[in-house]
Amino acid sequence: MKVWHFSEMAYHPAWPEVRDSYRVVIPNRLYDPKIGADLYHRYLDEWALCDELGINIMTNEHHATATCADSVCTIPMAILARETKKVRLLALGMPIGNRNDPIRVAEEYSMLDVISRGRLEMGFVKGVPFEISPANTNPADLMDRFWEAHDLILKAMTTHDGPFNWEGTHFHYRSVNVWPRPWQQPHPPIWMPVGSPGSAAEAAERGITIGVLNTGWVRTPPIFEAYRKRAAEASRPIMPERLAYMALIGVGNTREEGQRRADQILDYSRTSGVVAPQFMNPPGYASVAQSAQALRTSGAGFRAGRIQSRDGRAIDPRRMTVDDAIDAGLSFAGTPDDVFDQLRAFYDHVGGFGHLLMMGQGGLLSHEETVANLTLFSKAVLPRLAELGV
Amino acid sequence: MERIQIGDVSLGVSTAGVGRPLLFLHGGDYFTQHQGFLHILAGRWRVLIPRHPGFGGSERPDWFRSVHDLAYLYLDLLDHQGLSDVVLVGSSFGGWLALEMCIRSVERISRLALIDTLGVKFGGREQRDIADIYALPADEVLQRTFFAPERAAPDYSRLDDAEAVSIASDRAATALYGWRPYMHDPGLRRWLHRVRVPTLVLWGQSDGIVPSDYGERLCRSLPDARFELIPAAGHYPQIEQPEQVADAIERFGRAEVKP
Repeated sequence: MKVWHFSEMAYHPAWPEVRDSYRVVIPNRLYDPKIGADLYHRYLDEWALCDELGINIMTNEHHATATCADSVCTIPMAILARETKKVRLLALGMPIGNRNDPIRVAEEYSMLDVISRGRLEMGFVKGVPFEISPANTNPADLMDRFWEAHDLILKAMTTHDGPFNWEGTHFHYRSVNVWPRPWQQPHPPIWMPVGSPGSAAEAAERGITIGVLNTGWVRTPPIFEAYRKRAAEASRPIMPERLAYMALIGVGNTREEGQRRADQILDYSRTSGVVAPQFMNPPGYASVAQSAQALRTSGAGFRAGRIQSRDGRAIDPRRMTVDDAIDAGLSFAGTPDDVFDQLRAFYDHVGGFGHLLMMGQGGLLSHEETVANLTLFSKAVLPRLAELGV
Repeated sequence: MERIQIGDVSLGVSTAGVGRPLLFLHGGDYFTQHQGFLHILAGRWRVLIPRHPGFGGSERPDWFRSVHDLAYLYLDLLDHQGLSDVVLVGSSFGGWLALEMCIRSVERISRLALIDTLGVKFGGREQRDIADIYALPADEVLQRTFFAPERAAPDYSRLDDAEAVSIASDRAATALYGWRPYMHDPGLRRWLHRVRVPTLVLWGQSDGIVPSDYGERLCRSLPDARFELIPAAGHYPQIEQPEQVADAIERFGRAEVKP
């Protein structure tokens, strides 16, 4: 199993000022660039350490938010492509339905792949609903645009005999000719985060690796199952390497220490969904059936009830405890044995997966604590993952 | 509702009443709340009420995605039905479509009535002419939409499945056609001189989505238009004051054309 360390590079100093929305409308006067610079550098140091620890690196991006100050997922990757030498680099990733220029995406990813000498894994993401407002992209045809951008980026990265023409529905170029071409052939591996069985099946058809985030004990099995089923129907090999699961991981020398670390990382879950409700369900973003349901439970948005306990109770993420998160399968926390046992139980429950996306830093977890968390994980948990058989 | 095939679009059209034809183009939301108004119109005109493709759960071909497509579709509908001397009435988003039709052709149209219409950009790039209903809290949108929301707005918690699905698809379709540029066509203002048909610009006095000074400016931009305020009404005066709006349209529609 491959492990990837992920942090949202949160700008947590602004959090005490937030009343009802950590996103979209939060003014950037709450951001102090001097403090922000220190935070960027420490988060980058933590990722650079991963090269020594044998933990791969994952970045993401969000916009207009204090929960994630990484607004361009390829910028930290550009720094890390040179600062690291061994581990793989997953950008999960580029919101290609929200970006106006897919060719620019192909160029950024190709450069990263070459600079890192072929260590890039490239993510294409739909983006959460509250990304629509900052990008001002049309939510009603988002996935249509997503797949056209996907097709164009791949064709741009795999065409090596000069310019080609692209006059599609959403994107228009008469001379697509991307330099450099990627290091990996035919192109770096593709990832896509998914949150429903339907989108898992779409990814399976294309052989795309799926990253499943915040779906926990209850919602993950049908997503993985839908992927395996459609992959089989499409005569694609069913490989655990195509399935990734994200968990918030706190490991300590004592159970108390590991859980304390997880508790701080969990501030990610407690803050990142707190958004003014009008941005929760832009028209056309979700299916008509989902939106119809949201209409009747007015104000709650369709994302309500996404986190569930093992026995199906809705958990309010703003008040989630570590015990709640462990029960829900969102967090693995405690001693190295605790973490491994929780991971193995989850792994067996969902039918296996090939990648663990480890949120090893979140919220206010300090640099020293993050380094301790990652280091202990690499020494006491990572070597045992082979026992899982992938 | 009748289905009329125009090219590869299967258009749902309700028709009612007899007499001179009146084509009503609905806005983005609250279609169900139009029944009273449309009933009054049907007592006075031969009313045609299309559901825009993609609205109300209807089919929309993949290629069909802009207000320009809608404008040509409804011009085709008038041809297809062989209608002339048509009174064209558009509310909100439907008023935008009516304007897009009229700058292309008024051959079959003899009167245009616009109700709290959007679609035109008058202000500068940092000025918002049309309230951003997708960025305002739901309660505020309701307050801006209706003079008396407690009377006019539906109780969403009581919707049945079919109604909720219909509204959700109306909202998705409105976004598809009107998300960016937001609820307007940047070029439309420059072509309003082509709306060469007597026009009535009706406006709810308490419209907080597109305020009445926008309506007055729109009126001044049209070659032959007059402006009328409807008191005790918001963005959909035909829902809150159906008799007043129907009467205003009737007075205007039946008046002699100026020589």
